[in-house]
Amino acid sequence: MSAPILWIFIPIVVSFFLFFLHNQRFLSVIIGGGTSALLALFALTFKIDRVFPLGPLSMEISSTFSVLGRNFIITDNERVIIVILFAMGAFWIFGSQIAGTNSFFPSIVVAIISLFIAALSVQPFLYAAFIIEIAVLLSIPIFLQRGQPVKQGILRFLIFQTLAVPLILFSGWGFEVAPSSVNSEAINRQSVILLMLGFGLWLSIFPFHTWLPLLSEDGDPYSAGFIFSMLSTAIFLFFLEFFNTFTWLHDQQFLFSIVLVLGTIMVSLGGLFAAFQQSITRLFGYAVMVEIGFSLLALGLNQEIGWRSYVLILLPRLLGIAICGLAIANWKKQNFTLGIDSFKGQFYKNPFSMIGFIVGWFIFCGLPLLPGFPTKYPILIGVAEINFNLLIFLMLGLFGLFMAIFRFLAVIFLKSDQTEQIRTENLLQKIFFSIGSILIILFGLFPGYLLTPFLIILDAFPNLK
Amino acid sequence: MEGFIQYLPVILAAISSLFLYVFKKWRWNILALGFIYISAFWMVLQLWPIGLAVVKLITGWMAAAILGSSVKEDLQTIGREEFFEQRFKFVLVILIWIFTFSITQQISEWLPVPDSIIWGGLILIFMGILQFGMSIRPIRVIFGLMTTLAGFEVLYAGVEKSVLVAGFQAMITLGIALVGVIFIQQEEEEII
Repeated sequence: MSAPILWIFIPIVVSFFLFFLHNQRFLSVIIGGGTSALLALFALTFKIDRVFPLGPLSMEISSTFSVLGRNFIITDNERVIIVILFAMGAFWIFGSQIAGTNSFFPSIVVAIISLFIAALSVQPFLYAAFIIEIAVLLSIPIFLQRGQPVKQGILRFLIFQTLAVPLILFSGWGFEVAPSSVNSEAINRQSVILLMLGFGLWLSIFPFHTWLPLLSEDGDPYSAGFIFSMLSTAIFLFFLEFFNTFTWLHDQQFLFSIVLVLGTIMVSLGGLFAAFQQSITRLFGYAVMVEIGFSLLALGLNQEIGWRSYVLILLPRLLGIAICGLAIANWKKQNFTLGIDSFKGQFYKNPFSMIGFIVGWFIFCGLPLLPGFPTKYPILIGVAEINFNLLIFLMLGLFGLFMAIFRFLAVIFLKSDQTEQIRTENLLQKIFFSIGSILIILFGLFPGYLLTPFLIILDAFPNLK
Repeated sequence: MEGFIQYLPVILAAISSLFLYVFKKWRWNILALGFIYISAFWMVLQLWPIGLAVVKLITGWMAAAILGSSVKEDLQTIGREEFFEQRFKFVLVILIWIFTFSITQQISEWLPVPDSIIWGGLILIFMGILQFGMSIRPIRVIFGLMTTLAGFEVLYAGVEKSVLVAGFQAMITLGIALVGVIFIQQEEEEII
């Protein structure tokens, strides 16, 4: 048995099986979620390339699997990434039971997660761009809702993600041939431009950010949340591999300066747009924009603290997006108009989803005692040391996020005479939001115990230390 | 003479992408898409062995067939081609041809591919971008993406010759066609 078979090919087979079970929703959620949870558990316990006893027998999971002359390699250092992806996959699939996504969601989620793992393990690593594109194509059906036409957000998402692939592949090729070329400096320069354009399109970096709020509004918000969190995680990890492989990129100070500025623009614009936004779904898109901005800032620091923050910020973001996405989907299912003003007195009807959303949102804001604070604080300090002026814009962005949530808080606690005291949340919803909120608070209270172990991810990228 | 033959697939790519962009008749569009993949195959044939290059032709035709089979009769008559719109589009296409020709030389300085192929690839890429950049109809976006990716595949064939890459590209081409089918069906409220 090899690791790629266990964590890539078996889940793809399971997702294929689930595709035909899509009419039996509960069963497909149980099988899909259970498979994801089980694979996360395997990744947590089984060591790769080491023999371990299994009763009277022994077993070894090898790291390599070859297809058409190319290798898929999952090393022992990458197990934590697999744990995170599959554990979050389980959360998203089980959550879909209360979020009201379409019936293909569990099968597609399992397939997409295994494709992301394939993308992170394929050698040469540039082929990951193809695999991520396949995952993007596979994700399209989960945004579609019965009776709704195909809207702009979905189309833009598809266009931008597809256009990124050629740019990334050509930039990677350029970096590979540049050292042996007589025109190496020019090729490197052009490759850097292609790389930045490619990642800009992929990660919806300004000015290609327009699909983020559109997708969360036009598509199903829960499915959009899944793509926002998992796709950006996979791409950011791919980005790490890029910098790990082409180490000379670390010396390109102009590149990191541009990344810092882009990160600042993302945070400040995302925050400002959020501050004046009425629609909760669009608000969600802007929060994701801020999060992507923080990852860019961590990258732009180009120091060990930056790389550490880059990895540490991934997990709180996953949790924040998951719980906010679930809350919005839950409200949409109840036929809310999803404008902030329509949430008047809703805290008394939907207290658990409201608390979940607020806790998730405060992660994006970087509120102390929640995991957003210990992960964003070092980034802010690092940016201030490099350029204090940027910090002012970052504060403006964070202030915008706070303003958005305070506007929301002001509305949800308003109690009118007509406010009905009927609680609309069922037991499953209460359990989900409670577990999510408690988990987030625990991560915030004990980041040293619960977050820092994930720094082991950096061991998979030795050149970044 | 040999130089002219090298440019034949480029001419085919230019004319078929022009037809795909300017005309709205469904049967013509699918036919134009089929010709785009013939031109892409012809260009890739100069860089890859025939066994590998033919994958592009087959998957392209399969994708065109998938899209063609999902179109209902009533959709085929949507929109009356307006002469002014077509004229405007034609001028845009001429500009794109000139633009791509003017940047071919620059790109050939760092891309180890014959000039004719670079021009052909660029024409397809920019015609695709023009296609999805000027329409909000899902199926036009799909046509645009397929044209752009066909152009990219032509250029990328010059730098990477791998069976796995050909496989991935085929999967993406077919995947986009399938997404196109889902879009068409969704508009008709048949699935999801």
